[in-house]
Amino acid sequence: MPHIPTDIKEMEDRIIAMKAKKQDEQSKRKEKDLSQAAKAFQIAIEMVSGVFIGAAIGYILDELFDFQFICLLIFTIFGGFAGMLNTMRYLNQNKEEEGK
Amino acid sequence: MSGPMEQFEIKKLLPIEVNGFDISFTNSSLCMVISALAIVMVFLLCLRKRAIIPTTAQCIPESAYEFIHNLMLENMGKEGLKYFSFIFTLFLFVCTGNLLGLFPYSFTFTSHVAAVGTLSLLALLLNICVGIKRQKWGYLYTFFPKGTPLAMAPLIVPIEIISLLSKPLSLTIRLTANMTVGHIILKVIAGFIITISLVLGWLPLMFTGILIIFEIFIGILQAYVYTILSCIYLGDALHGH
Repeated sequence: MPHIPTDIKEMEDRIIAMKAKKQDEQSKRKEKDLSQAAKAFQIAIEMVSGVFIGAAIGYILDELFDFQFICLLIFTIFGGFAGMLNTMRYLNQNKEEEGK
Repeated sequence: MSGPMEQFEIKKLLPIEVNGFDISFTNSSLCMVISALAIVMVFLLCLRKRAIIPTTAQCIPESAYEFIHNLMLENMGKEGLKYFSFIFTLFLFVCTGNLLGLFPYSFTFTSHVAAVGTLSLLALLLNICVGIKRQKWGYLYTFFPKGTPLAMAPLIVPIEIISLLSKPLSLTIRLTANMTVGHIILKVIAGFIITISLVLGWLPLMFTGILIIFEIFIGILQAYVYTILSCIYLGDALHGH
């Protein structure tokens, strides 16, 4: 086996360590991107579900008490606010978890 | 060749009608029964010979148990462990349902709002019952947080009620959307194996294989997310908002 001078061997080790570190950083970035996408998806769901439930309650109340579309209108707006509230709570919770 | 949406069609296997209500036994019901039986069978088989030093088979249910146990401890604390059986059943049922849907000629019941929605409603009902049991009248503060001016009540109360009711819906949509999209993509890509040609067919075949592995991962991950969110909602009821 040919003799490898120590400084070249040291350099090789450093290159290998650097490559491993780079790969690790890349995989971490990918993981972070994926979790960000999942968070964005969750935010969208929170917003929409609030509006949907609000509209459903409004529609049921309109049907029950024959209010035409007044309840539908009011409760859809309330639903929008509820969606925003849920989104804010979700984001605050995430912020707290990231801070830990 | 069948379309990608055909796999979600509910077919009646045993038509039953009671007082005008259709309670037929469908392919969805069959898959739920198979899923429940599969869980019971796996647990019975793996825990047949119980030992202090566990065998490989015994490790499967034990790791699942420990996983959910730790998850509940982290999110709900020690007092949340009272509801372990519910959360554990929820996780196993959803996870098995997600994975069962990957088998050929099977049916993914977790891709249907009716099935997952019922589970989410159960979680909401438990949340309300636990909240009332623990906090008594104080539970009403969920809808009207302390320190809010009384004049704001007509605005805050309906918003908080909608906020509470929309939680199971967001849980349901998250799981069903993920399952539906995954299965549609799988079917579309698999369809290319035949439609492209015999020469290039290996490419979508390879891609389908990768997608199936990815779907297994997604199925387990979504069951985990569903369980953790249910734990958080239940934790809210236990500790107050």
